[in-house]
Amino acid sequence: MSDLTVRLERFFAARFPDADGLRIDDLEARTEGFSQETFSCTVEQTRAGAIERTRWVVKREPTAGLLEPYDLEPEFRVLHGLAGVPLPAPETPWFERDPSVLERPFYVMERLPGDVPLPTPGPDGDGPFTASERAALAPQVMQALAALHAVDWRARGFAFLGAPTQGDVARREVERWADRLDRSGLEPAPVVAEALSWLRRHAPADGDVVLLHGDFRLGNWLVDRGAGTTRLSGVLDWEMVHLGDPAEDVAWCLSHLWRAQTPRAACLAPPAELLALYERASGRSLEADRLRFYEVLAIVKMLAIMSTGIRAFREGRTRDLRMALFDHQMVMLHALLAALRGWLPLPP
Amino acid sequence: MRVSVERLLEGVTRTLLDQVLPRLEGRVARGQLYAAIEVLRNLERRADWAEAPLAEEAASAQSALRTAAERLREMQEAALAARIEERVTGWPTAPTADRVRAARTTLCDVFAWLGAAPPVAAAAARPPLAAHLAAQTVRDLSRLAPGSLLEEVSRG
Repeated sequence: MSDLTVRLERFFAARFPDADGLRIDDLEARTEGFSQETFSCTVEQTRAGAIERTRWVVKREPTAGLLEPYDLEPEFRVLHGLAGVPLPAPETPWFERDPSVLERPFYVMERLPGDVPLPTPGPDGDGPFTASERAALAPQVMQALAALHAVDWRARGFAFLGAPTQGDVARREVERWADRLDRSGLEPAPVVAEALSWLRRHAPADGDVVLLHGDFRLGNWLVDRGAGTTRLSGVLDWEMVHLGDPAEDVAWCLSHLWRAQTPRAACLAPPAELLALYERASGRSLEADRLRFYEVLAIVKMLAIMSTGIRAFREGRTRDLRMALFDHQMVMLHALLAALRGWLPLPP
Repeated sequence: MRVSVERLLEGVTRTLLDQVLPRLEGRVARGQLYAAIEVLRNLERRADWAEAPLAEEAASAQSALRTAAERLREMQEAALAARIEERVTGWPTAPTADRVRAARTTLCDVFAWLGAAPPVAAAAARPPLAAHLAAQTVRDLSRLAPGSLLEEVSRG
């Protein structure tokens, strides 16, 4: 039995003191993520001879990663505080900061059914979904985003995320990511410097300030495709949750980044169609200029995240070779940025 | 590229040794992998990394910056034009990597300066710089190995 299993059994036993017996089954490190360390396990409790099995996911702060420095507490507080909201977000009951438990802070959430389709072209170049899956999923995804944006963040106590000051909603995001790029210590890229200059000159006026997921996209959605139905069963990876303009989440979701060379945003539907679904679900209309601003910001954001990963690899704090690959992928993002700025043709 | 070739080769070698090798059981496959690692370990010393693309980038940036400076002068922004020309003149001549680094830094600074310049003059100066960025992006793309394996990397 691994040390991690023993430690987790101790942790869960303290949460279920009424169980006669408790053991951890099928503990598995999940390595598909780039960010936090994720483990899944089944907790088997015995009570009066009956066995109850529940499935959990443990997310632990990594030593290095794309969004370092890490603090899991804000996303835990949001996930915990979203209980009761009609959103497919996992129930997240526990956060532990005590290093004696798992060495680094972690939180525990329920394991939802489904798999995480990725933005890859797939064997037929059509993305990870069939036509019927796309038709079922597109409205659900945009309804979930609209439901998130409708959350009364003040009433739920999410002001700790830091509301932007008036007139500063868009600018704050530009500076947040410009700062992250600076902190990566990498040689500055002129195409990014130009984009930042453009963003600073074209920041839209404040609109609504809503609760944003920050990374709402294909690749962070859990999709349950069992029994002939396609259901969005979970929205994952909340580490970029913050308060801001709803167009930021929409533009990120619709970005070319997640189209996998298909003509469909999020590999689901043509961008205009997906936007219309969001507008219908939210009752909110997003101007083209506002969306274009956040579309450019999305690429800058992605480049800043990759820069952090490259720094971690360059400094030898991670051995994950995928971080080194960002060096090549950045060139593709530069091309996308040049296309969005109108200097090169846009991909489909 | 922002990760040195040395660090990349070291990272690839360590991944193969620590992550892949322990999971390989076949003797032939293990032998092949060891051979590949040995090639990588020696590659760093043998490779003559190409300088021509760097020289091309520096020349293109220089030309774009000089044209932008001319445009600014035409728009009565002589001080800003002189500032740009002075920077370009001060670039190191060698090694080429240092010259390219200076070119990129100058371009970044110039975009910031133009952000604070009168909008009409800045708008006149930006097109040659944008043309350089577009051309450079195409050159960078053309140097990537064809047939990306990123999908396989994502799926694992």
